[in-house]
Amino acid sequence: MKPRPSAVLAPMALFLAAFFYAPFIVLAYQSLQTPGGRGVTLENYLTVFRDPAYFKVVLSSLAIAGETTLATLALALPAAYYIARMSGPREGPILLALLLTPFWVDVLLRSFALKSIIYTLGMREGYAAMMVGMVYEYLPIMFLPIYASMLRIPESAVAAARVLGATPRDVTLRVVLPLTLPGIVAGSALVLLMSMTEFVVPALLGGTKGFTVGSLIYYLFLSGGLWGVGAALAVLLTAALTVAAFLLARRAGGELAW
Amino acid sequence: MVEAGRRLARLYTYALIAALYAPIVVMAAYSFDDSKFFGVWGGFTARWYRLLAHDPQAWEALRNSVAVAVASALISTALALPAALSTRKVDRDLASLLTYPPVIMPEITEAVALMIMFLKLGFPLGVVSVVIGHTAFNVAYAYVALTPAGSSGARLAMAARTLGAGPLEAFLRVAVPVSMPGIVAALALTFMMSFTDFTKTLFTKGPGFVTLPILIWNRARRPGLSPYTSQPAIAALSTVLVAMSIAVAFTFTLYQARRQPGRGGA
Repeated sequence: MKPRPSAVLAPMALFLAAFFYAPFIVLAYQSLQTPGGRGVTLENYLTVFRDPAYFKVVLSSLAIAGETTLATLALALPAAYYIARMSGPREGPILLALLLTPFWVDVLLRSFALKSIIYTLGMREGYAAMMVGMVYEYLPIMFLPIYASMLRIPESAVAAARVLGATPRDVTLRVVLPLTLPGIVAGSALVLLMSMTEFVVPALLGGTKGFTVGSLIYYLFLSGGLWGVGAALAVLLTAALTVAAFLLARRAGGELAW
Repeated sequence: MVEAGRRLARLYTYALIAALYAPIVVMAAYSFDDSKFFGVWGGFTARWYRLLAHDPQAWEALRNSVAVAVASALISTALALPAALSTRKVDRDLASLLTYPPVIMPEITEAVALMIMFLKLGFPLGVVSVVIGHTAFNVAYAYVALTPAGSSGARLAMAARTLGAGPLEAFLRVAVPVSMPGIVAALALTFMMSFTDFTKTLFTKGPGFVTLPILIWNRARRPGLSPYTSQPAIAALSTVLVAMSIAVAFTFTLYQARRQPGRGGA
């Protein structure tokens, strides 16, 4: 007989069921409703892909997300390498904590802080300022899975390569980097999908440039009143993230990203 | 050659970390700037903080933020504590499965979904809906902060039971004191997350309810004539919130990083 979960889980599980999981069912239902509300329809989903005004936002948001992914990957890799495999036993935890701490500061506060430095550099709101903001916001999300992958590489793999005549360069490029690939894939998938939902950074730093799917959802719900299309967009992003997170968790051997 | 590469990597890492904190330091500096705009230094002043101290809207927002954060911290920690005290594998697996999505799901989708549900149910948006919204993600963070200390507390309580302690005695005199570092961490973390939360609040607050981050958002988007909406005045308010976030988050992430090499905070 399979062991059953105990009742101690009930308070947390019931609260999450009612106020985290149930809302997503309501959201999915809403995405199948038209303003008139006559039965179930796929119209909202078709609108997202057919209406050029919406689809253009999806494409430009994908471009912003792609650039954010590449930039955070390039910045995170060397730092993850240093902290995971080269830092001292006292230095490592402090550097890790310093790098992850800004992640806990709300995006609104970080975007506003970034505005001060952008003005100091003589720049103003616009595409470039927004991209700096996106990279600032998503760097830790890229860093963490890469760091975790690098930390898991057994010392024996590196030692074996050295004994067999690999140079330090070979070790980095042909042992460590390939073994970090799961972390790179996980970080890239998370940053790509999460940055599409970002609306605070474009609103505070983008000026008139830069409009993401997140910005679109924000306007459809808080100023437009077009709930159906907004719900369809939110469902598509939620589904993509759920699938990605599930696949990544399975690849990591059932171990979740944190 | 190897040593040179290591030094370069270290230099890069330190520079990257410095760059992460630079905006915060610069913003804090401008909160003492006598000019009204970022990028222009008009000399040192504390007048923006004095302005803040006499700002009735900021005081109202502070009261609301404290009320929401205290309620959400207490409720989420209380909901997560029993689960975190379980030592059974089946419980831990189910709990981590349940608490993973609230951490990974982008806030805006979660917030929009909750807003629709409240409006469909005819539930009035305001302080209660905001507390519920915050607790829905906070409970996951509370669970993560509670688990390590919680499970050792539970194991020692079982030992106390075999040595003759009653169930209530084992819980109150062993499990709770041993779990205390986890309880404190959970309360501090959830209070901070709720106190500085913007997105979830924006969608679940309804008209008229203002917290400190909402006030910052309203003012940052209409920079202009009133002294309250000038950039250094907003910077003063933001600096206070950022300082609090960093103090709590750094303590927590360092504790996590030291306890379990290989695992960061987040």
